[in-house]
Amino acid sequence: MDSYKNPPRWALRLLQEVCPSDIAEEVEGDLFEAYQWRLAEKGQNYAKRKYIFEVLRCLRYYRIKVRTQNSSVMLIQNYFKTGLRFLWKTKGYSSLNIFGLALGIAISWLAYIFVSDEYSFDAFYPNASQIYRTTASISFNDNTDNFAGASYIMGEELPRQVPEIIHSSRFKNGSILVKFGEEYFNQVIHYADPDFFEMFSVPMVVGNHGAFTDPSSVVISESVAKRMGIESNLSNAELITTNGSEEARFNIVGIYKDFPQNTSIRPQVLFPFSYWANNNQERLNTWFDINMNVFFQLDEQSSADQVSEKITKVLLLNEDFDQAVVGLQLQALTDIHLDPNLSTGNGVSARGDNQQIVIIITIGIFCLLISCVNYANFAVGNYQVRLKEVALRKVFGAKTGSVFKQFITEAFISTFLALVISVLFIYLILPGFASYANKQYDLNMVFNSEMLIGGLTLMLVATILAGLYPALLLARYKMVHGLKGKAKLGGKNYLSRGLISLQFAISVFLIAGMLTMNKQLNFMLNQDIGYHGENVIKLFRPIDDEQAHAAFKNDLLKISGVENVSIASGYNGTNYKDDDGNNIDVGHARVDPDYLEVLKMKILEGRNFNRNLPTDFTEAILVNETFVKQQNLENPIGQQINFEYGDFKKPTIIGVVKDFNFESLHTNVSPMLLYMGKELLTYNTYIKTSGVNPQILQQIEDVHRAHFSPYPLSYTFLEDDITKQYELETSIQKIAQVGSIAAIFLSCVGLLGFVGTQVRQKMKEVSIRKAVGADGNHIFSLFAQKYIVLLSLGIIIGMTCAFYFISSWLDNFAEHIEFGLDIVSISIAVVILVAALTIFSQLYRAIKLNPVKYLKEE
Amino acid sequence: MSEQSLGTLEETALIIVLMKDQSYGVEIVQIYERHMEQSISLPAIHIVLKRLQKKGLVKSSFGESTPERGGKRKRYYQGTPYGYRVIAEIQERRNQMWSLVPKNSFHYGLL
Repeated sequence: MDSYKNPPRWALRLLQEVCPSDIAEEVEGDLFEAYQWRLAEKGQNYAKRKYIFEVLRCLRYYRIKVRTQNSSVMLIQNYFKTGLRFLWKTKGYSSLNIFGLALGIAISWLAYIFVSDEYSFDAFYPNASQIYRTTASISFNDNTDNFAGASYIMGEELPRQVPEIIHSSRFKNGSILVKFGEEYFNQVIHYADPDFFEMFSVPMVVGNHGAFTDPSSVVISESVAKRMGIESNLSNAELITTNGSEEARFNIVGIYKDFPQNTSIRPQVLFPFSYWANNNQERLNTWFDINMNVFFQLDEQSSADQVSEKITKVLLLNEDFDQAVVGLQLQALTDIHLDPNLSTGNGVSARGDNQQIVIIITIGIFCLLISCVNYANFAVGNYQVRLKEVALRKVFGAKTGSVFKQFITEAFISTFLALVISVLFIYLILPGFASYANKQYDLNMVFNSEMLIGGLTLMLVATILAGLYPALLLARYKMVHGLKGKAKLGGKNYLSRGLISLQFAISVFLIAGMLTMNKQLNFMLNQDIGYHGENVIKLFRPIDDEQAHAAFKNDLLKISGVENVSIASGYNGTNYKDDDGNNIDVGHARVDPDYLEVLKMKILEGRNFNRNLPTDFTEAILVNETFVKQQNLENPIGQQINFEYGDFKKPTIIGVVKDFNFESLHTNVSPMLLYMGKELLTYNTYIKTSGVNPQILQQIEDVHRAHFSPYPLSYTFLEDDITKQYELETSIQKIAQVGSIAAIFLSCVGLLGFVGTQVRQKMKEVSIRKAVGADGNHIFSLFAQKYIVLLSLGIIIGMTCAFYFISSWLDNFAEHIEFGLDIVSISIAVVILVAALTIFSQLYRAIKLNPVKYLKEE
Repeated sequence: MSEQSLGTLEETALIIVLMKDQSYGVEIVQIYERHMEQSISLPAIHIVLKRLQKKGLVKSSFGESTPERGGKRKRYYQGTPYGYRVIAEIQERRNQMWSLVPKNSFHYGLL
């Protein structure tokens, strides 16, 4: 026989739901048979329609008469009623409990908002899944370096030679001085190829980017257009730029909609790449000159691995790398934001870190978990009171399933209330959290459909987490025991004790983590970085003319309050071969004799530069300690090294400087060379003042204008720069602090509820003990004993995890503290103290009680 | 004579049940649709059969379960002697009345 087609499942379910049980079989069978018959006669659609229609007729025919027969609806109403009554009866603990649950939900919700925002980066581009960025790796001996980016010619040749690449665009940033009216301002610009618009689906508001190859045309974003007062008429719209002496004019051919917040690519002014090429002719043909980003869009069938193999082959055909192993890889666009291993830059800005996200996810999950555990423990504790009710329900025919449903319903009531309260919490916390996390969240963004679905999911998860255990426990409970008044539930209650231990474990873990972070951060901030930034203003101004150099410095020194000035380059990296032919990587910078003085750097051996010795400009060099150590120089002073850069060759060491660290302490100090040769462009002017105040800043600005008009003044305070290097750690620390305080608070709430209910149930026992002469100490130790095991178990587990995770976190830092005894002992002490206080607060009632009150009841 | 009053659909359903030894819902619907040349929904027939059973005009029993019914058993309906008598009487009376209707009246366009 043929197999039978099934009618629509939902209709069948509905039918089963509404049909009184005595006729269900007949009706279902008849409808099924009729379905087959109509299917054969008039086709599926007809049969289906008819089936659904008849099910609905059943509703009309049977439903009305048999309402009272359907018990599930009625019972659920009853569950809600008893649930609410019980909550009301124990309002003190219940409100504490729901409040804790609300806090847990709110925190994990915030974590969800933060994390989902981070993961949404770049994913909204329609082609996002096919867009990749090229990255390069170079291995030499055992040392591998990864760079994000590519060269101009890679962007030119690779798409031509590899057919899988269907679109490609280079992308690079720059800065340009824009004249608007009589004002000048620095504008960040980006260069891109014509394919850029299609790859990233850039929506044009006005005009069109056209071919986008003419170097004199630009497109701008809506917000820049608004700032420039351009609205819809582009016929005469021009962007005027200047390099200080000459002006250049560009036609604005289009205005595009601003890129959203959650992307790594956010150009404000787009120049065609041809413009960059015109100005950088010498860089167009070097294959391994990584100074820009190149994005490729692959066709749908190709995999990134295949393509990266192909492009590596093309690269190796064109350039010889000696012994180094070089490869090109493709990084998915959506991975850029959180990848900590590849540097950003060249116009792509990314977080480049996932530590903070891991920490936030951990805290979110912990808080939710703790509050659910609290609820479960509290519920189990309280339900001992309700055993009689459960037993009675069972006597009247409640099935295991229906008791289960009842307690899940009650957990649902609590989580629902908690959810409502947590929305209130979020409403209050969100603005603070946004500024804390350096994000722009507003309530519209939170209360959209996606987030609400997230909230509902969270509520369901919480309901199940919190309600499952008590519901199972009670559903399986034997009614005879309840009726006899044997209020002993689920053996020795290992699970709920285990949960208490888990909470302690989490608390210890978080406290230890928080303490370690604090200590590490303080350690880093107080570490001797080899230079001092107090009252030093760092002014950014490239100066290529030696005369201007001296004159500017002179004028700055005339300002009262300016103590010293040094004009220097930044640190560049290069390498040279020593006498034995070894490659030596060094950082080098051009300085002047005042550099060490301004930055308070110490000379350990030898002397500083002397501006009166002409040879100091051509053949003298200062090195740092690390360089001396790395080269094993015993008497560094007077030694000649093979370093050369441009015309500056084979200098002699005149002094050794104490190590200084201009990068973050994540990295070790690298070998550094300082010299006065004129090979590097100076662009940092360090001004040491006796104290920063508006007058000095005003005067500095005046001097700057006199020398470098129309360029606007741009400066930072060196101290701020130093703190900025630890920005990430500071923000992680802040979040970890708040998170662990919340988690500890939640654990306390849980403990409070757990101990409280236990004590309440033991009042009679305590009364008898007191009546026969037990004193307060005795009773306290009686109860405290119970928790000592749980507490120590939790502490051991928590500490083990903490030791493992925190040690590996500390290894991220070049210089770090040890996870030592002090942290261990403090965090254990805190947890024990908090636990003891919590337990005591609950026991206090038991100790102080008047035995008569509880004993006379019976 | 009878205190039973039957609706039209009840009458028809009862007659269909009496046609055979025993019949069940879908069969009844099919016979109904063949003879009356109009369709009827299953639940309507079910509810009518239920009423007839309550009035003692039909009785029912479970049959075997078959795959074409999704593994569900049939409920067979069978007329009771009382049911037969009731419907026979109704038919009888109706026939008597019908016999009084003139077969060649001018008014009905029969002549």
